[in-house]
Amino acid sequence: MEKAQAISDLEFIRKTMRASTRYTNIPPLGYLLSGLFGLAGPVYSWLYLGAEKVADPARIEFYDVFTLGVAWLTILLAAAFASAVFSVLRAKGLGKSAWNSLVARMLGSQTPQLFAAGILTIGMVAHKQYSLIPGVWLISYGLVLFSLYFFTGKDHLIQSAVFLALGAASLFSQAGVSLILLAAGFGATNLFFGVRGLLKEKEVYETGPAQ
Amino acid sequence: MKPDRLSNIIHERVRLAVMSALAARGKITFCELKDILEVTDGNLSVHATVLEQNGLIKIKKDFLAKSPRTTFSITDKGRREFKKYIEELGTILHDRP
Repeated sequence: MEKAQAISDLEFIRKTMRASTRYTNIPPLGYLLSGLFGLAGPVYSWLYLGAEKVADPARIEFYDVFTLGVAWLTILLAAAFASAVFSVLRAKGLGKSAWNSLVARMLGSQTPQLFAAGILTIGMVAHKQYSLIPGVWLISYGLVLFSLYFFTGKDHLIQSAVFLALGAASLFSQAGVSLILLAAGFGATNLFFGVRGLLKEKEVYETGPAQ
Repeated sequence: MKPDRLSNIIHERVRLAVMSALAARGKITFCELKDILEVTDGNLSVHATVLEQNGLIKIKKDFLAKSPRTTFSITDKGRREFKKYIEELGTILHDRP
């Protein structure tokens, strides 16, 4: 066996192993729960603020910001927790550890985007630019998904494009429309991919031909 | 370096892919593996049978929700031989100019 062949074989093995673990990403149920949380956030914000404050964010008071901040932080943590729990359960089901160097690299790659989103949010709140928050969140999450794409597969690339497009649209929309776009991103998009994932798993695990 | 008989068994492209996927995942269904490797049913079946006959993998057939399901899993011997194969490749990389 030549050296070039050995290099080619090792590269082939690496690619195959990476391809085989792309299915160990956030499972469909994690997406579904995240989608429900993602819908709950904008709906709660709308109901809490009321139509007048949604239409005119300048009327939003500090205590509104505090209440919504707590609510959104709870939603973020709940969604992250749900995704983590389902990922761990899936990994256990596969007899694999949920934590490995790939997961560490994936999480590490998201840190700058999440940090930027946090700082930008604080800045926008400080300057009372509330209507821009949904757009910044959507774009930041789109960037998170884009970074995940390099570790996973094209699903994250598609999701990233959806979030970036919704975020861009949100930045140039009225506040009420921005909340709807936020729901479309964190709610509907996650729900869609959750359902799609469930159908794919069903196809993979239940209707496979006997060989 | 001339690969030994087991290395020759693993060395074939589809079989190497099957072993790589199973080394990463431990257990995997026929459909999922076919999807990952992008091979035909027949091709995958033939090569999986060769691996099973040499004790490198196990093939389990059962039913899930009335649908037949085939699951591949790597054996201890399979893990050892796959590791040995990787080590052989590493040796070639380091020994050859």
